[in-house]
Amino acid sequence: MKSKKIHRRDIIKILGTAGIALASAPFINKVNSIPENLDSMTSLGMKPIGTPPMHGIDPNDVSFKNSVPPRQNPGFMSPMEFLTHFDYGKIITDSDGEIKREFNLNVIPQEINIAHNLSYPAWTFNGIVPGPTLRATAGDKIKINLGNGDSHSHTLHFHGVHPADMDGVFEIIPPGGNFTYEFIAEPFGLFPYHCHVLPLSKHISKGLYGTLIIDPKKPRSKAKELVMIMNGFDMDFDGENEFYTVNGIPNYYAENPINLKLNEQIRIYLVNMTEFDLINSFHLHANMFYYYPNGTMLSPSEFTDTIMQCQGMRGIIEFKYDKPGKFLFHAHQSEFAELGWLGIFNVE
Amino acid sequence: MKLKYSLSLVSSLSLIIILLMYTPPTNISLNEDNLQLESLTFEKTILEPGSITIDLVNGGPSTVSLSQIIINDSLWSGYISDSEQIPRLGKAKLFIPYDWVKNEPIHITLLSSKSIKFEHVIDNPVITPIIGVEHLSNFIMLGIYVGIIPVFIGLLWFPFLSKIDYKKYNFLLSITIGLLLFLGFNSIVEAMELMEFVPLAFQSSTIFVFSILISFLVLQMLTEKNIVTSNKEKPFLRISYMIALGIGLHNLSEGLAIGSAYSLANIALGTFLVIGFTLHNVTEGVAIISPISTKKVKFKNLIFLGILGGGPTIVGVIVGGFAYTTFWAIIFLGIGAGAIFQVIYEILKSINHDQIFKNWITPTNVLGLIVGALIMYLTGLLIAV
Repeated sequence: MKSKKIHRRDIIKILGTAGIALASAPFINKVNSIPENLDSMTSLGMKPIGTPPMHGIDPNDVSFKNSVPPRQNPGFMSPMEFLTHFDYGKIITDSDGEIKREFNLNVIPQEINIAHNLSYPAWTFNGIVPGPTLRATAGDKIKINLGNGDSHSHTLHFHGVHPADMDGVFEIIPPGGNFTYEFIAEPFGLFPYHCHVLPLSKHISKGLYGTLIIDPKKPRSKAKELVMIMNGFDMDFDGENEFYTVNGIPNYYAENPINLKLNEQIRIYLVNMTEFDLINSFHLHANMFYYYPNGTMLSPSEFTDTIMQCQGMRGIIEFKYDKPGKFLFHAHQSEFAELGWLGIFNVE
Repeated sequence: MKLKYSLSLVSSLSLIIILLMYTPPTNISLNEDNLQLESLTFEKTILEPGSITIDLVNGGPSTVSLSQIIINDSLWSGYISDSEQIPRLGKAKLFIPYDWVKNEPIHITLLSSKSIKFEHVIDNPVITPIIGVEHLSNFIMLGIYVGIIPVFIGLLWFPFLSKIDYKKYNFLLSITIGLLLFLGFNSIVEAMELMEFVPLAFQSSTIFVFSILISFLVLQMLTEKNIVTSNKEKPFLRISYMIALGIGLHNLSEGLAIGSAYSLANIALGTFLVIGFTLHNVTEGVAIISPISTKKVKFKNLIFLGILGGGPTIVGVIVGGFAYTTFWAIIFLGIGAGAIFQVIYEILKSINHDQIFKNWITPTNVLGLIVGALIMYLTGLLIAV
């Protein structure tokens, strides 16, 4: 494209017309050059936006904090609180003289914060997604009062063993209605609960799910116990998740690492309630764990660092760290990990 | 009379009062929460090693508040100019540090606070040339190759064309009409293709139609008032100047497209493409001189005609390279098309002494039109991108 046979005069003539274009050139250059330190972006008047990949690990990441504003609604708890929060219910003596463990769950439509400047119009149990972790001991008589405060019909369906009319499938609870579920907690293990009104994928993906832990009569060994419910959020309702999380906020435990003590026994109750995707998974870094599928046996079935669950599957994970430092845990589908299902254990 | 004035005063006042008293209806579900009419256009994307810079334009009816960046199914982060709130018709620059891989597609999704997705795919990412002053000479050379040289090559046919008889002359003018019609329709199609890249709020389709209309009317007005050239004895020269002007405007938008394609690295401006444009534009030179081919004109006029027809390409390439916007390209395409159609009208008038369609439709002339369009089509094949 280079020619040497152009007269200087011609170029000078054209230069005049190019004046306007030239005036804008310095600006273009300024913005195009990559600053060596990204800190200087803010000095150019640029504002951080988005969720940094692998927060706390990326050396380029200097000024980000996803800073999800705390929710104000009643019943709200942060994912950090949720991790170790167990609802043991209230011990009551029923009218027929029986001792029961009573739980109260209410379906509440609730706009929940997912990320900075982003919320999701969820259907919740007691204002949180996932719903509260209920806990009982095998053999307990339990009673769950469900109130429907939403403008759609809902139910409460537990996994586990119980009578047909306590299964929360055919007894649809209309808006404003309520229903009491009563059954004996058995067998011991880990059981998800969720709404079972059709369309099922809508009622689950909107947030109506949680966990019931039934402890064996002889308690499990002492451990730091954590609940992790894997889920996804389909923000634009196109049948595909935009975010994957444990306990409701993408990258929450990456931004706020979970502190563990050296050689402390850890027990994770892991449940997969991810809608739309076939499976989800859990991978622990620089360590191995014992896996008890469904928590219904007292001896582990696997010694591994990665397990896979389809929707509704669950299991108990047990491990301890004998080396200090920061360790990742995340879905081993890289896509899920990079869309929010990633956390950090900080072992000290 | 007084009654008339007072009536109009009352009606104006009542209009003002009605506007002042207007409150949006609240009982129908047309409040902002229910309307998800957010719109965001990716105007320009610049790729550099390790980063993506995007110019965003909000062409929707409401402010867009951005929340998340997702690149190739990963949550990502970046920096945005001023604020994550982009007002109606506002612009923002988004800088994303991202280690993209050459020739492997980048899917960019921006998620607004209302969970509306704005998606953009860069199919074949390569480093965007950073346009600096040092590129000016490149742009000028490009403009000369694509605009000036071919038009002058076309003008060189002048001695050959000047020896033809009246019937052949009419045939030649018909070819010119064919060339021009092709160019005119081509401008319309090009503009329509560009419209999808302009935010709806800018109403580029309507603006385009009016660009054609206004350009046609203004040139017609100038012709009738004889402002374009006061030389009444040389109406044919006047037509040549009109053709050169129309083609020049067309070439301006062509230059805009070339310059922006170069700066956006959308096309590889290889030798083949430059040769294609050159051949294609030779026909424009022929079109310019055909009305004066049998007349005597000063050499100086030929130079001016060439510069008028080809010169704007250079301006277009430079402006397109430095500060391209699709919207202005559409307007220039419209102005060019209007000018071209006005010239066709002018040629038809000149052939038949103001009796436009009366004696024009002869086999020779229709054949000429077809030949003209065919020439444009065949040379156009060379520049298909």
